Amino acid sequence: MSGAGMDAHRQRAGGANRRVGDGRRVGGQKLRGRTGLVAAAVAVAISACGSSETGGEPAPGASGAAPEAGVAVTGVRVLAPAASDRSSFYATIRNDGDVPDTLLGLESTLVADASLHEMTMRDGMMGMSALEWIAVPAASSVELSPGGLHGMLEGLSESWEVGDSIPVTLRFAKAGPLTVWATVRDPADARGNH
Amino acid sequence: MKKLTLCAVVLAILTNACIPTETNPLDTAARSMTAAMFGEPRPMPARTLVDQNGDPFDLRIDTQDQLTLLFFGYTSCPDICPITMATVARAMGMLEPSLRERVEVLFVTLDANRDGVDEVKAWLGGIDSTFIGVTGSQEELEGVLADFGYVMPPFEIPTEGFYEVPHPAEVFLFTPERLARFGYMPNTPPEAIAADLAILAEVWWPTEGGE
Repeated sequence: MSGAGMDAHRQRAGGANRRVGDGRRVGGQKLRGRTGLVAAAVAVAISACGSSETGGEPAPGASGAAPEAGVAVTGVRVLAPAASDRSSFYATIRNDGDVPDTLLGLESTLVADASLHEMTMRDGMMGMSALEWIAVPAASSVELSPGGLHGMLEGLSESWEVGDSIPVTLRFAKAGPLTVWATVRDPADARGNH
Repeated sequence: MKKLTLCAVVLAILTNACIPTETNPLDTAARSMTAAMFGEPRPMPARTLVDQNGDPFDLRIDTQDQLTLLFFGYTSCPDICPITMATVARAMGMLEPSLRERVEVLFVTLDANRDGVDEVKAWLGGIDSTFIGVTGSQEELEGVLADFGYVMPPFEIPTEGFYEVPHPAEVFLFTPERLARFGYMPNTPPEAIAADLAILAEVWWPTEGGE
């Protein structure tokens, strides 16, 4: 019905005018780590941030960066859950490095399950498909945003209020785990990074 | 010199062909709007569903003489539906009261299995209780969608747990003749929707001193 609109949508979904590879989930395999792995991931992420503080938690609202691999995550936000225990995760992932990286999955101590998804359009109808991974090519950025690539969080441990900060760990193939604090946004404010 | 005259004549013809002497006010309005204008407007399906208060709602009769924003979705929808509806609600809050009265927001669920009258009412209550939400049997709902030119792809309803329901991405904007002439993709800012409605209202209900 509106071809131009759909093209614009795809472009947004891909982010930064670049083709973004993705890996569709096969055989229902999930990529969640065990609790121990999450704890280790958080510890690694904290040290990867290069903060002078040790042992403390990353400051709420701060964005994470793993300098060596050149992956930075900004505009981190999650959707205030409407009438369910589900939420969505959005962010901008920038790879300033010379090597391509891959987002392998998400984890959070505050959700039972976190997975990667992509909104898809077929004959004007919107659907969703699970992804096994999301490519983050060298010298590019990838948008996780409403209507495109995004993370899905299921089984929230408690009710989240607008303005709360939620820790989410992104697992990269090369940059490793990276914990960021996602701000809970009102659905009307979920679109952009502002 | 002859060549120059010929050029002038050709130019005059071309100019005349390119700039019509009378422009359609709707096309003029559309040029300053953010919404995508559909090449072929689609009529509102002539069907009756049930609104969130349990009353019958005739999609064609009950949406005449107004601007209508229509969104197909489902209340369990994790992100696009709440984002879209919250964005539309914010746009409504930006309208002048006199314009707000001329705009109706209509939500048509495509999930008869989970969205009864009470579920639609509760969901809209958390967004904007002045919005109208309608439901019906799955057959009726997909009938509305089909009348509107969309085919519902098959989707599975599991015995337990969450499932998704396919739905069109756009918010459709109907003019008072109940024709969907415009659409908004997700990620349209509420300011743009509010501005568009003001431009469009001027076509049907010109204010004094307006153009």
